[in-house]
Amino acid sequence: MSFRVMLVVSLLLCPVTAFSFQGFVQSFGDNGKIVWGNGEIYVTRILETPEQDSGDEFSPLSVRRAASQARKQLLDIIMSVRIDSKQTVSAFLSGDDELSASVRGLIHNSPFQRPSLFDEKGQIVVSESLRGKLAELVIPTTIQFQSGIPPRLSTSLENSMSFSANDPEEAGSGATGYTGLVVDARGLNVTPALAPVIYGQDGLGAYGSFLVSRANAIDNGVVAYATTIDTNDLLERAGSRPLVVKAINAYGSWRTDLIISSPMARLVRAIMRPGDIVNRCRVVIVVDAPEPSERIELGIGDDMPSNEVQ
Amino acid sequence: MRNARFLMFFLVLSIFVQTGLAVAGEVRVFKPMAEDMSPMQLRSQAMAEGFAQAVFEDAQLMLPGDLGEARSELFRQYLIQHAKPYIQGYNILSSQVMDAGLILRMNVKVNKKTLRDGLRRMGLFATIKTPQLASVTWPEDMDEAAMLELQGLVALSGLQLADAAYPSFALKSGPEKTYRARLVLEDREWVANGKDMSVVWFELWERFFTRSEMTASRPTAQTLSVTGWFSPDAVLEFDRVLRGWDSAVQEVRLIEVDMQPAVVGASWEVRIVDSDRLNMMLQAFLPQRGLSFQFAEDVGN
Repeated sequence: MSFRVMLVVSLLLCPVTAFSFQGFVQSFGDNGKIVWGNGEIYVTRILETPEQDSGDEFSPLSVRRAASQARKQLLDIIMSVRIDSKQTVSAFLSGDDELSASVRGLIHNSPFQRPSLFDEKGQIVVSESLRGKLAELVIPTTIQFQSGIPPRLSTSLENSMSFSANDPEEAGSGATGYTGLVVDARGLNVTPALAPVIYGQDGLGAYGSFLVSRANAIDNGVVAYATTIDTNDLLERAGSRPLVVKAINAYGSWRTDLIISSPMARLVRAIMRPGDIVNRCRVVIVVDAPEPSERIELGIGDDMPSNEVQ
Repeated sequence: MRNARFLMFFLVLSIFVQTGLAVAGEVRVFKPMAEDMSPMQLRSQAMAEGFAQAVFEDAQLMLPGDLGEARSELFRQYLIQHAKPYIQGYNILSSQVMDAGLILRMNVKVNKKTLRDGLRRMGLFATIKTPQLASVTWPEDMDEAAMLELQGLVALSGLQLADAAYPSFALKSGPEKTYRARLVLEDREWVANGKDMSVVWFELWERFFTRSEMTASRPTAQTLSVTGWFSPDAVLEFDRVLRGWDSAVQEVRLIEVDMQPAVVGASWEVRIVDSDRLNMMLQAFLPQRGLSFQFAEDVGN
């Protein structure tokens, strides 16, 4: 087989997700994670080792037990996700039995990967996506998507926060040509959320669910989270020429929302006109990378996570 | 003990199936303000268009083919006046009043079972792929507006007109601006009268499209068996998913749940309207969830 044919075959066999933007990977214990770049959630589980006299195959019962435990953990992870500064998925669903049942049903039918033929450890993987059907269920319909009315903080923060002299004095006129928005929130201990708001220091919302449609938010996520400011790595989500803005502070008791300077907020509002940026939610929030001990690497070519349980 | 658990499971299932027939969908409509229109009228018309939009979108998913642009528009216009019987519930998410009109965002629950039945009665299932040959006559003195309405109904019902063909539909003017109509087949006929032409029209054609010969030509029932689940809740979820694949499969009925120690399986009786599409949907949904499926041919009726 020629090299060219092998390359084509390799590309065809290589799952699409291997190339999708992964961004910030939040770990839950040593076997669960949310990939905040593309919204995928994975839980892996090692099967109980088969008894020596039962042959090499893992028993169907051990597969069932592991899958049930993994899906329970998957549900716990989803429940713990913050929707916004006010509530978690768990809090939102607590008042709606029908919706809770739908979410549980979805998890019971989540993608599932059995141990492969060559997997001696016997690892199963369950997964779900925070985009699409699950997002439809867990993002409250009470959120006013695309209302065009920016939320306002109760008090202006201009006097209470330090103001950087390096910020541009007037912005808004040079708002053309940007392909997305990258907000650098490193060092601010930000909590990822499904619908965060980016405020200006004047207390007025600059970006959030009030600008994007519910359908686009469900398909793309209002924002993606990453751990690098390198725009080459953020190309897929934020385009080739994103506006990069430094966040001044995180806001809210769970630090889900961000504050940027007033001039930058004006520039952000100027680029958030109806179009590709808003339609595809081309906004990335850069947060701190996890500590090395918690870090889980996703190798190129892995369609499922490869972290090992000790 | 196991029997009691089974009974409880099916009780829960029956409640789920009853409530699961309606699925909420979000619609957004803009209704322009017209002269002499009160805010109440504007809102009421915007809501009617929202209902029509929701029912139309669900109907498109249900029908095993494309209605085409002109017929789709006729159907959408028809639904503005006639969508209410298919609406199970709604809530208004936002209402934005502007000088130019009103933007209304609603969550609308459409009763799929009633809608499927309605589409069958209107003949949309029967004529989606092949038009129905028929003859239609009307009074010579019919005005232009009524003539346009009749042409719209012919196109909406998917009729292909031919002289002296059966079924034969004859429309006549009745007393006090009413219509009298007669639908004649080779071996039987029906009559109806009323003030609304569309009501008279569909009252007769629904008899044609729901007659026993038509029902007998429905796709035969088959059994779909799926296995590989670890929990009966997952069966319920797939039951909901399967009922949503209206364009591929209809009259879905869960007939058996097989709970083994290591794996749960289930069987459905279904009427397949598009086997390629159903296979594609099953292939896209089941294997990545560790599930496998098979069909058993003709389970009768």
